[in-house]
Amino acid sequence: MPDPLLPQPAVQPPSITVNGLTLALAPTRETVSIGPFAKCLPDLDAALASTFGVTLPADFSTASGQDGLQLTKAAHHQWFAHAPAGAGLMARLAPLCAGLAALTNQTDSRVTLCLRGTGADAVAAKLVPVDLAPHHFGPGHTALTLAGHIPVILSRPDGTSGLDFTVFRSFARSLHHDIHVAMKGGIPHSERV
Amino acid sequence: MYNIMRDHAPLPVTGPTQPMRLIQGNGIDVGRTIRFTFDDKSYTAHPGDTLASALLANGVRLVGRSFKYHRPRGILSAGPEEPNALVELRTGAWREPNTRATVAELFDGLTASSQNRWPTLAFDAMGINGVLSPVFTAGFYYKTFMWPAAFWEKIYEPIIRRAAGLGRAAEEADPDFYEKSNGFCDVLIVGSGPAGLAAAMAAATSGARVILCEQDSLPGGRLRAENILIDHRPGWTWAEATVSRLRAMPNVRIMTRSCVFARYDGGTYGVFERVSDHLAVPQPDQPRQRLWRIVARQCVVATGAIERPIVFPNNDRPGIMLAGAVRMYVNRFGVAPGRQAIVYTNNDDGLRTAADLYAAGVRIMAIVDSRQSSTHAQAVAQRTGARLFPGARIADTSGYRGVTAALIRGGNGKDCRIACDLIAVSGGWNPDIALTTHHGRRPSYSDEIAAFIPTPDEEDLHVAGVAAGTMTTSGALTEGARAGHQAAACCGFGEASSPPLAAPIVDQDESYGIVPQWHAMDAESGRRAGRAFIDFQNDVTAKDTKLAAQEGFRSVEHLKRYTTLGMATDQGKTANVNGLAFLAEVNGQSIPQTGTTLTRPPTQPVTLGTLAGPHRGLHFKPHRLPPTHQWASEQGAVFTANGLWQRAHWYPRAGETTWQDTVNREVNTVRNAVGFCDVTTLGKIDIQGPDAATFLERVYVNAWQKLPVGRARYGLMLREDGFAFDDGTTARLGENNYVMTTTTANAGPVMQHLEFCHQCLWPDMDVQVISVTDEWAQIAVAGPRSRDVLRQIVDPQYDLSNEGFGYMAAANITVCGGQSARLFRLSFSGELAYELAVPAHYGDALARLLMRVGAPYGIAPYGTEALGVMRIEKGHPAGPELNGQTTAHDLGMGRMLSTKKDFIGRTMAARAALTGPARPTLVGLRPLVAGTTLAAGAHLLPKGSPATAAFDQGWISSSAWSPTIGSWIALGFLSNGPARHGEIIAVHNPLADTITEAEIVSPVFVDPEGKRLHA
Amino acid sequence: MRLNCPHCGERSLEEFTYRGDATVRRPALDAPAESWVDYVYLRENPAGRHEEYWYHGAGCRAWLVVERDTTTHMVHGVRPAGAASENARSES
Ligand SMILES: [Zn+2]
Repeated sequence: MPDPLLPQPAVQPPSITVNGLTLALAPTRETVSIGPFAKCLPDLDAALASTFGVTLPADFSTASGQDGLQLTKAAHHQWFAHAPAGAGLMARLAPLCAGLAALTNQTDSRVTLCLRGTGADAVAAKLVPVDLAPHHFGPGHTALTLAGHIPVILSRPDGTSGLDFTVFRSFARSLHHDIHVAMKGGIPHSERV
Repeated sequence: MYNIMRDHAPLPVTGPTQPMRLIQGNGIDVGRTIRFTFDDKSYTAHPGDTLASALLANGVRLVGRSFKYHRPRGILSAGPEEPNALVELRTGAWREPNTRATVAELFDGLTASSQNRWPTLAFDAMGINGVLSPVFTAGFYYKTFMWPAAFWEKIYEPIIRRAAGLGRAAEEADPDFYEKSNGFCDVLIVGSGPAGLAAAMAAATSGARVILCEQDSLPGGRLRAENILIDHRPGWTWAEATVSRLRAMPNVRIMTRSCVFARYDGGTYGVFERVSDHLAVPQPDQPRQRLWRIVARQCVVATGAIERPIVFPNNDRPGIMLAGAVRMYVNRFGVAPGRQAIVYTNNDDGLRTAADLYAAGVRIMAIVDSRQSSTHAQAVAQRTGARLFPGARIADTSGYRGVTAALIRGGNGKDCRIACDLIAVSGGWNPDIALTTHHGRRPSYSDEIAAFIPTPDEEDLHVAGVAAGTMTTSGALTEGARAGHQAAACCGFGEASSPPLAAPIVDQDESYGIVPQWHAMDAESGRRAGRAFIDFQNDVTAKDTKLAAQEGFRSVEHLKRYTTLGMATDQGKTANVNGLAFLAEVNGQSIPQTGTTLTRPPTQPVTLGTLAGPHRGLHFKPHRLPPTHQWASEQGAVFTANGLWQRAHWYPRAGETTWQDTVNREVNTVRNAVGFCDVTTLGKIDIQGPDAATFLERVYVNAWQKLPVGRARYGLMLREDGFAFDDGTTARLGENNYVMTTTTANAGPVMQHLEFCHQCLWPDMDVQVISVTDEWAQIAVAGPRSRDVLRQIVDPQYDLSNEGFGYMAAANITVCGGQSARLFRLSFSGELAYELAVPAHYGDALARLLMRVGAPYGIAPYGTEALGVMRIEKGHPAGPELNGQTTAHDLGMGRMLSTKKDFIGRTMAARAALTGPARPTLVGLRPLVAGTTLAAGAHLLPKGSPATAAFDQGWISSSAWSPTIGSWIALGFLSNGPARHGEIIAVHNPLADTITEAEIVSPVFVDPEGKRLHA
Repeated sequence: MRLNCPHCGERSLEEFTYRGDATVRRPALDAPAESWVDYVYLRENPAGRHEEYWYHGAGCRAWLVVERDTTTHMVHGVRPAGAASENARSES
């Protein structure tokens, strides 16, 4: 029997720093998409609430539950459940959601690039056509949008200044390049940071 | 210290190097000296200068040659409206043509040169064009070049390129970097003159998020050009203080060097920021220019106005300038554009130039006021000691490389010649309304100010100050404050009813008192005098306009296109209204009856580099990389683009001299041993739900209800018009769980189609779809030894035998000791083959593992070219066959169409014309001589018939050299094709102009019985 | 141009894909050939308000019905396609 397969990160190196800003690949976490079947949303919410103490958020915000579970909207009728690596998320959700929702493993389909540091919003604004002002896009908010030409799930984490770009794995290197270029371009003069 | 109105004194200059420089200007730093060159001559200037102000300070008046007639031209304006002073900046790869000297900020070491002159600016051989002027009259493009087309390339174009032209683009790639950004605000304010600043302060005070854009490097607008006191201090210091206060407010962003060039739909604005144009070279990695898209809920347009000249004979000599521009040079840049000035005006504002020039020490030779009697003119003439010509006009000028005298025709008809080196002209001011017309809203003509004013009717647009036709500074301040207040209130900030901030106090209200005099032409000057230019940049004269009207081009739109009036890079900012007035006069109409043309974005030239931003070269589009990309690069793979995907095309090895060698070897490896290929790029869609099978039945032509769990099936999708859309295999992995594959190219469109079917056509269907293309690294392992290789990887409890895992089987399995995976027995190559999928993070490791465990079986990776050869050998349709013009019938799949269910395209596919045997239908083709190339795109004709469309019976869609057959082979579509196997047909390649012969054969060239597939 | 997605909020044009007339309804399988030709090929070209399908492909992947004035480009409303009412109309 051959050796076990080892995972390969989607971008290298794992972290770069330019002009005081850092762009880093987030550690892989388990991700399962949840697509509720017809009229199953109340039962699904009840099931999730009973086990994780959280329900599927109606808006584009992140809801956090027990055991590190995070729920965010991934499409108008789909959500992503995230949990730290090793949580066995699919195995926990499968019995809970049986008959209530389509569950699909998405752990490897996306990677998250974390932009951190003063001026992260000004750099992100070069790529993302949504209003990042704090009263529009505060901690816990997410948006399904584009970064340049690349579809992303943009989110603002709690408790740290910066933005997370969750992107299809195949686009990760292009997005990494585009953010890197935006970082090198500096903070526009008129920007308040 | 700034001196508002100094007593008359001789022209003070800073030194011999800048003979026309005054002691101070409000926008320059005379404490520092910088150097620049113009046409290889070195000059000095000061920080804050534009190239135009620096040239004027150095006494350089001749800066360019005109477009058609190569007439000597100088600087007309002091802003972006400049039609004449177009120059080339910088050198080499940085050379930038057609730059307006009036907005080019000077930096130490700038190299500038004049353009459109040959051999030198002062002596231009093409000045002869003036003699040839009949050739260049209105409509010359249409009239002159009617001779045979061959003349155009060889004769006209080279001549015109040299004779009539603009500057030269750099010949190397642009070395600079450009970027884009997005901005959002409640209130966008365009312009930082008195109206814009008042609007910004009012909106910002109410709490709204404000972005203030100023195209200039300094705020203040005309306040920098005028001697106006606001709150008892010079207006420009009030502007600077106001900007400082705004900057301190957290809800305000101030963008200088930023031109709002477009107002798009939905409150979207295009802004062009010149980030580093004022530097010799941008800082490393810094952008040269930046394109902003600003989304604003409300907009206040406070763009001011653009002065227009009066049209008179020989009105284009260097030294003839706009009166307001002259004040800008005097007051902001501390430059006297001449020593002996004539002021020619039809309004009071022009008279201010006489006063300011006089205060700067310039001798006022005459004031030519076209109005009959003006007490204001009398007062100014008296104060400046100028000779006043009321009711007069300038009938001609003289001076070759610059104006030396004017012929003034008095109200009494008497002529008087007066020497001068500067004529400051004001024909009145046109509000800069371009942005207000971008949505198609027509402006209206105001008789009071003899200009077009905006008629905003959109809830999110406010116009204030001179842009709205309000001609006083106090009016602009009041109106700006009101507009800013209203705009903020529209966004929910402040009270709409509460009064705006108290307006600052202005020392005096400017008078305007315009009485239009559009031109100084009479019957005599029409015949004898020199050319009177309306559009300086495109060399359109009064005579051209008249001629156009006489020839029937009486609508403004026709006039514009026939004469090219207003179609130059300045978009006729100083020319259009004068042109209209001329046309109106010739037509015997009023200006409102004549109408006006509208403007489109951009209001000012925007560089292509900025519009492209960082998306150029390799990064024009994003790349999608399959999980084995890094490994494939290490193998020396040659990549090819498949949509956004970068895929390995082939994997060359030492000793292979052509790509054909490599591909042949890869095909042979698969046919005789085992190969593998990353097929992750195929679209993969997870479909789950109680209605999943019904949903598949609706989107595919064939049946799905009875597909057992653990099996896959080929499916064909049609569009609703009955033509083929996409194909692929779909596997049933669970009771209500399917995974669909699509072609690489159509992964996105199929997903969109499924969403449409689900959301719009059958929303009651209980089904969920989501892409898993990126979740799985999927690798095809193909060839007679593929099972042996997989046996090394797949965990032992899974039976891989033909009986245990037959053709079209599908299963969730584990590999390498428990790693979850999916295995499908699918084959595109026609060999015993599998597709093995592992989570994408493990794809790289899987490729390396396959190389290792497959080595004993002779494994090699293969690229998309070998993949393509093998699918042609097997007659599998791909992109060239599914080209949107073929039906299931054409593809030989007519019998797949179910008659027992509804599916997309069913009704329309059944149309008689789409199923008739005469339609070109899929066939295989083999040349009679194996080595004869069959080219995709070639036409199929009956043997011996002429190669004309009338005999066309089909085409070749795909072709390849088949190492397996040892011949060129092709797939194509041929009328009555399946009935004609064995017939010899002519193959016509119109590009190579060849006709060869080929035999019509079955499209399945290799293993037609499918023995290998089922091995 | 911007569309106010009922799920995501106001977004710029590049996130959306245009499809066309949202008032046409797919005929029944046994409908006469003319209704199918109408459905597949024939489109009104109204000057004024018009309902059209847009897909928020770079956002929430919802199909939307946008009411747009073809003469002014004003957007008068955006609602999700496939709401119950949408389906009900296809039955009528
Ligand atoms: Zn949306």
